[in-house]
Formats: sequence, structure tokens, C-alpha cells
Amino acid sequence: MSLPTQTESRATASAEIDASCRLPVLFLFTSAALWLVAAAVLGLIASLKMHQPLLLEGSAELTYGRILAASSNAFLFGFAAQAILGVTLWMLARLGGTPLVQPRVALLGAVVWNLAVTVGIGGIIAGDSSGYEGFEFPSYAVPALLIAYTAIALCALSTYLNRREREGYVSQWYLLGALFALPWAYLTVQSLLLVDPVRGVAQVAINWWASAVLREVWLGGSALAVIFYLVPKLLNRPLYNRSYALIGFWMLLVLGGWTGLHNGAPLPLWMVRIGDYASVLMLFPLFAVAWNLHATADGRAVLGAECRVLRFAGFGLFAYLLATLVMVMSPMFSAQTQFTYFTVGVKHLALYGAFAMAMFAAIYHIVPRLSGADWPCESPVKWHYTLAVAGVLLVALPLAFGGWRQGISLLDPSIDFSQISRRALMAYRVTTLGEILWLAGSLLLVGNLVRLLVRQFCPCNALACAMQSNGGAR
Amino acid sequence: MNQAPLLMLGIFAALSTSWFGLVVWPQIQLGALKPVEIEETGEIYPSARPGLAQQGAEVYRANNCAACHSQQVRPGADINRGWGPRRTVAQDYLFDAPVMLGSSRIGPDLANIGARQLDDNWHLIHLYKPRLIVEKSSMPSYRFLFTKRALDAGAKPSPNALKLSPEETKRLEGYEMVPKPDALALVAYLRSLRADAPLFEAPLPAKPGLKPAKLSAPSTNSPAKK
Repeated sequence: MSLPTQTESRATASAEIDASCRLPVLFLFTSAALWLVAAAVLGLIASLKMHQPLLLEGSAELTYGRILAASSNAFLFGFAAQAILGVTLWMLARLGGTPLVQPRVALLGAVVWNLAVTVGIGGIIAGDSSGYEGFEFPSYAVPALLIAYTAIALCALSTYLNRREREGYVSQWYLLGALFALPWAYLTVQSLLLVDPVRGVAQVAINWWASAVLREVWLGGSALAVIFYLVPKLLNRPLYNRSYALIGFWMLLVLGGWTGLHNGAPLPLWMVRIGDYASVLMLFPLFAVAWNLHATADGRAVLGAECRVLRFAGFGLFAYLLATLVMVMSPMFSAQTQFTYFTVGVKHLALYGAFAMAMFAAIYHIVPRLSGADWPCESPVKWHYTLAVAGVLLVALPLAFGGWRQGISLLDPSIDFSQISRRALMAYRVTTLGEILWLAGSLLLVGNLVRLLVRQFCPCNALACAMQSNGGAR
Repeated sequence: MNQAPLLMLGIFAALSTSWFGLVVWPQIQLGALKPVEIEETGEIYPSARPGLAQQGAEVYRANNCAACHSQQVRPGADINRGWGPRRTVAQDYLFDAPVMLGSSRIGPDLANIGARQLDDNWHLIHLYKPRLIVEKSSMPSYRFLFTKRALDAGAKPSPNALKLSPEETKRLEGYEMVPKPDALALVAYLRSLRADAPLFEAPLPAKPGLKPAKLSAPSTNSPAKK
């Protein structure tokens, strides 16, 4: 077992598998891209309001706190969840060498999921936010969300159980871990925080556990699944070491949930300490991933590759390694960076730099296979890459540097607080530029998808398409 | 890892370690936490919030104030900054649902704002237009919590209208700003935020000759800096 391609070449022909995935996966990817734009627009408004608080001040619906929560939830459950589910359906079918089970059920689930997310975002804007960070959807939106998810997840799971290729690949493990992690975390939140809240700070422990599971196992695991799939495949090299991949996977699953605790929290000290140890131990899975992919690439360029898909995946990989490395080292300086923009910047690097970029790689790799034609034009894809990289860096770096300084000042009581806040606003002015670039990149993604789909599935364009398409999928 | 049931079982077991540690175990350790009697004052701490303050907590939650304000005093620098006399502990949050610790300090910590700023009118004006109080404040205005009402010529302003400075009153040109119930509830909530009762696990720093104040009395903490 080494290369994803070998697994796929046997059993059912790839074309048949792709045809079975076409409808649900294209729907999931397109709606994910639209939610990405929504999240970017809301994020841009929030970033503007940070240094222009007088902007749109008259209405409760557009107040900073609500817009911020709406943006992050649109990103997580509008974009991320659907991108992951699309990748999961396609990859489990492809790697298992079997067509997708019940594509119509998955499509129906995806439609309901979108409706539930819309209700949830609307609820946040209307002031029904749950008040738990990362899980702001009001409790009335969650049941539909979980039912829709179950429908799609069951299709994915039956496809996996139906597989004709017996030997598993590392991407399948990560995707299955992620497939379980989201409903588990959200079910815990819904039952113990939203419907019948437990008492006092136990809520905080649950909230932070669920956030950590989503960040590490759900988002991080899915990003790694994509990277582990694409890097060997596009470089046409076998995966260096399966055991390293196994170690990395299991350690991430065991440690991930522990890493969300904050220094100085009003929780029993042992919890915070274990959280610190878990963060440091994350060095092992981090190293296992880095070394495995380094040896797989064996000197071939990933980040500077000619192939755009590989570049997206490569940037995602480096951002993932960097963000995780900061987390590993965080027990050393968490007293200084806690409550500052530094943590916001690192989180942005992890969500937008690592996760979203890996998902873009997956979308750009998978969609041509499903629609049967290559991207109509190469240059919008290149532009998306450039804009996305610039957008991520222009948000994450100013916040990280500004936050570091903010943290030093916060520890010095002789510096007036309002002065610290004012000084830190410079960083936010730069992030607005980053948010604009990111939004432009997201619009390009939607444009690329729409152009491809219209060309491919609109009959009047069939001829033009046949002439332009240069030999199908890359 | 080619056996599906084994893989699923493994994933389940691996994820349940942190689930037991951070979801189940806190219940066992903290689930039975009860209000305690403060030795010095004989009062029960914490007490449930009065109704209006509880409504204010809902306003705080709905507008996600926790996006910018933490409610957590850490030992050391936070105490030196005057954000509280002692660190906050589990006992302080016993009746909060949701507990809104916050993760960002774009604005100051509010764990003890009820002890630091005792003036309701200060809070209302600050919510109405933060920049009237803090120069170049990055806090948004919450004027949607206020009603703009026309004032008849020569009529006295309503007793519950905002007591603004003369120049600000002039700028309203014959109108007055009256806080909506949500604004009053939010201020009641802010006034209820204080974590300064001496607890066994978090005693107040010993100050010779100074007895801990009664919970109902104004605190000895300095008010928020303007």
C-alpha cells in the first residue's frame, strides 16, 4: 500500500465512481463556496467595524459581536462542513473502489443542511446566539443540522463498508475520524450546554473540549486527509511510511480534545496542566506528518510546484505545521498571549491558511473529475491562489505581531488599557486589506465553479466546451 | 487498520479519552458545587442574579459582548491592573448559563465591573456613545438600546432620560434619549458582575486594618479609568 492511484486502478472504473458522486459532491462544493463568500463578507464587515466602530451603528442585527459570530459559523458550518463532506463522499468512494451509496439521500441531506445553517445564521443575527464560542447556533437550528448530517454521514459510512479495496489508506482514517468527531462534539454541546445546561464552569470545559475536537480532529484531520491524498498522488510518489501515518493519526485523535484549555482558567488545575502536556505532546504527530510528507516528496517542490492544486495543498501543509507548532510551544508563553490578537491570528492561520487552502486543493482536484472537463481557464485559479495566500498572511501576521505586543503591554499595569487598545488598531487596519483580498479570492472560486458547471452542463455550450477542454482532467 | 469495526472502535476509544476527561469528569468534580457561606460576612455566595440582571445577561449573550470582553481575573497582572481583588474561581460562575468567560480582551475585563463602576448613568451613556466617555474608544455604539423621543419646547426632560452633557444635549436638538428596557437590564447585569467575595480557595489579599466589605456595600476598588 503506497499510492492512492494503485488502490483506485483496480475494482470499479473511476469514471463510474465519479458519476455516482457527481450530484451530491458538486452541490456540496458549490454551496460551500457560496457560504465561504458569505463568511468573507461578514468577516470584512467585522474587520471594518473593529477600527471604524461608528460604521453601521444603528442596528442591533449588524452589531460587531453578532456579525463576528455569524461570520465564523458561516465559515465552519457553511463552508468547512460541506467541503469536508464533499471530500469525504468522493474520497471514500474512490479509495474504496466502489460507487457512492445512495447519492440522492446525500443530496437531500446537503439541501437540508444548507437550510439548517441558514436558520442558524439568521438566529445569530436576530440575537438568538447560544453564547458558547464556536457553537453559537441557537438550539432550534441544531436538530435539523444533525439529521441532515446523519443522512450524509450514513452514505459515506455505507460506501466505506462497501469498499472493494480492502487495504485502508491514511486519508480514509482521518476522514472517518472527522466524520465521527463533528456529530459527537455537537451532540455533546446540544445536550449538555444548549438544551439542559450543566452548572457553572463545567460548561466552559465542555465548550473548550468541543472546540478543540472540531479544530484538531475535524478540521485538522480533514486537511491532513486531503494533503496525504494529494501530495503522493500529484508527485506520483509512494507514501514514505505507513506506520508514521498511523502514529500521527492515533495521537491526534487521543490528544486533540485536550488542547483547548486556557491558562489561568477558573477550572481545576489538573485539567489545565493536562491540556498543556497534550499541547506539547502534539509535537509527535506533528513530526510524524512533517517527516512522512518530507520523505514522500523526496526533494520535489510542493509549495513552489508548477501544479496549482499541489501549491494549494502545500501552503495548507505549511500553515498547518506552523499553526500546530505555535500550539505546541504555547504553554511557554500562553500567559502573555492569552486574550490577545495573537491567538486570533494563529487561529486564522489554522482555519484559513491550513484548512481552507487544503479544501481548495481538494475542490480544484475533484471538480474536474466530476464534471468531466478541466477548468476553463488556468489564470483565475492562479489568481485565487495568490489572493488567498496574500489574504491569509495579511490577516494572520499583523494580528500575531500586534497581539504579541498587546500581550506584553497587558502584563504591565502601568500602561493604560485604552492606550493598549488604540495602539493595537493598526493591526486591524491591515487585516481589512487581507479580508478584502480573501473575499476577492473566494469570489473567484465561485466564479470558477460556476463557469465550469455552466459550460459543462448547459447544452448550448457543449460544443465550445468540447473544443476548449484540453484532454479532460489533469 | 483494514478492519472497519476495529477502526471505528479505535476512533471511538481514542476520542472518548478526552471526552471523559473534560466532559464527564468535570461533572463529577464540580457538579456538586454549592453556594457557600462567607465566613466574614455570613452571606451566601454566590446568590442568584435578580430578575432584571438575569434579563441583562440575555442582552449580553444576544449581542455577543463576550467577543471583546472577558470575565476572568487571572492571578498577577490582572489584579495589579485593578480588574479584581483576587483571581476568579469556579464558585464565581455557579449560576451563570451560559458562562461567558470570553477569549479576547479588545475591551477591558468585566468580571468585577459591578464593583469598579457604580454609576448607572455612566454605564448608560457609555453604551449610548462610548466615545463620550473614552476617547477614540473602539467599542461600537449601542444606540439601538435607546429611544429617541421628541421634547416639547420648554418641557422638562423625562426623569429616566439620559443625563447627557450640555453640548451633547444641544446636539440632539430638542430630542432626548430614553433607555429601552434592554438597556436598563444590561446595566443591571453589569452592576451585578463582581467576583470579590473572600473564598477559601481564593482569599482576598490580606490588608492590615481593612475588613472585607459587605457584598451589598460599594466596593473599595477604584472605579474604571476614564
